[in-house]
Amino acid sequence: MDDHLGRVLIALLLSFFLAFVAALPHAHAAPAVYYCGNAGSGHCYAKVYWTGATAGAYSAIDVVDLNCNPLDCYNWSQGGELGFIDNEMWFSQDNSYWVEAGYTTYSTSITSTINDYYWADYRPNLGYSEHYLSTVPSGDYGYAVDIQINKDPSFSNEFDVNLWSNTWSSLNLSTNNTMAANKIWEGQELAGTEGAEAPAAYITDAEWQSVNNGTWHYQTTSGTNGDNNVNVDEGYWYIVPNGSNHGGEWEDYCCQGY
Amino acid sequence: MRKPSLLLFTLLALLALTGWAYLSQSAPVAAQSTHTSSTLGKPAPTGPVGVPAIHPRTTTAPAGTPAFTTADVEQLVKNTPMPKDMASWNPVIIRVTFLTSLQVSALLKDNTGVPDERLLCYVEMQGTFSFPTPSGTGVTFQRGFEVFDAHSGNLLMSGGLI
Repeated sequence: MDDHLGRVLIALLLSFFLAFVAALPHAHAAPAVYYCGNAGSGHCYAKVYWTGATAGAYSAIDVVDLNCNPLDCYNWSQGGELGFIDNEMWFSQDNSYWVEAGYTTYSTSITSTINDYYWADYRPNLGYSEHYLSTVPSGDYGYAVDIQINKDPSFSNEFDVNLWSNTWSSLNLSTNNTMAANKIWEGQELAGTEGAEAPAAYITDAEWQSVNNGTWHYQTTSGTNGDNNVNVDEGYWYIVPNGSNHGGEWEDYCCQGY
Repeated sequence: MRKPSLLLFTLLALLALTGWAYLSQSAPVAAQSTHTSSTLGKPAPTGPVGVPAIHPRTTTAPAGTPAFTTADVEQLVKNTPMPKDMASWNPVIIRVTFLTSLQVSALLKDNTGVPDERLLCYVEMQGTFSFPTPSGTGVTFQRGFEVFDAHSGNLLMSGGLI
């Protein structure tokens, strides 16, 4: 009787164990490739945007530990582009000229990964410039970085590009910039074919600045969803802006199952 | 009963290990936002320090002397693609020169963000340099540049020139 009971117990436990292992989602599966870039276009985005002439844009983006495995993200495409993933805000004139700021992760060799705060601009009649501000301090993770891009009230053709995080801040100028901004974008950008990952980040306090009097206003609508590959790089409204919730909460993350 | 007890112990240990493996690969919890719109109480602003790139040969170089050579720069640039550049990396270096921040700002019609007198290393290249627009297309240039801090070797700026 004792032997029989023992065997039944073992059989039950073995069944439970096997069922449990089978239920583990991709625990040891080799990662599949995603298609988020080639020479010229094709990045994946988990972003949202609003259209209309404004003098400035503001967002608070959660600082999460983005990762881009150097073996996958370095020289992934024909010995060319570095794979990367970022969380950022863009302030643009249509799709032509823009100023952007945020934090990004990429690899500069097969053994190293950099996670840094940056800002960049593409100005009319001038080129594209990316400014590498600082590696993300460890004390910033789990908090937000506030990003503000706006026309400088004192100088024409200048935009302030300011970032404030939990332990660090940076005030910058996009000079000789004649763009007439009419779009605000926020969210995540992914380039590469494998090796990137991003925990969920919330983007809150989505605001725009009036061109008439410089006052700041929360976004009150959901804008346009620019998420172009939800299977890889996903973004959606966790809380939709409604006029009384400080611009809602946009959530983005990557790269589930890849 | 001794034999089943041993097996039971083994199975329970396996279950514990499996549970640990499951928990360790679960999706991380999203960070909570703790920001405010106010800038009060925020850290004092700092100038850009860039990101690690060239390994300086010395840490005691005087202010007007670079801590690495133009050969060091060329080797790094040839072997390290420019971040965010969407084109294949095959640049031809046409200029490596040490300039003050003020001179680099004038050259690029841009603000380097570091003090005017700071010594920087300016690198200009020919090739194809393409960067993503907010909408996902690319803007392409035939000339590219990179700017390094002449002492730390950190990369401060990069981009395309018209």
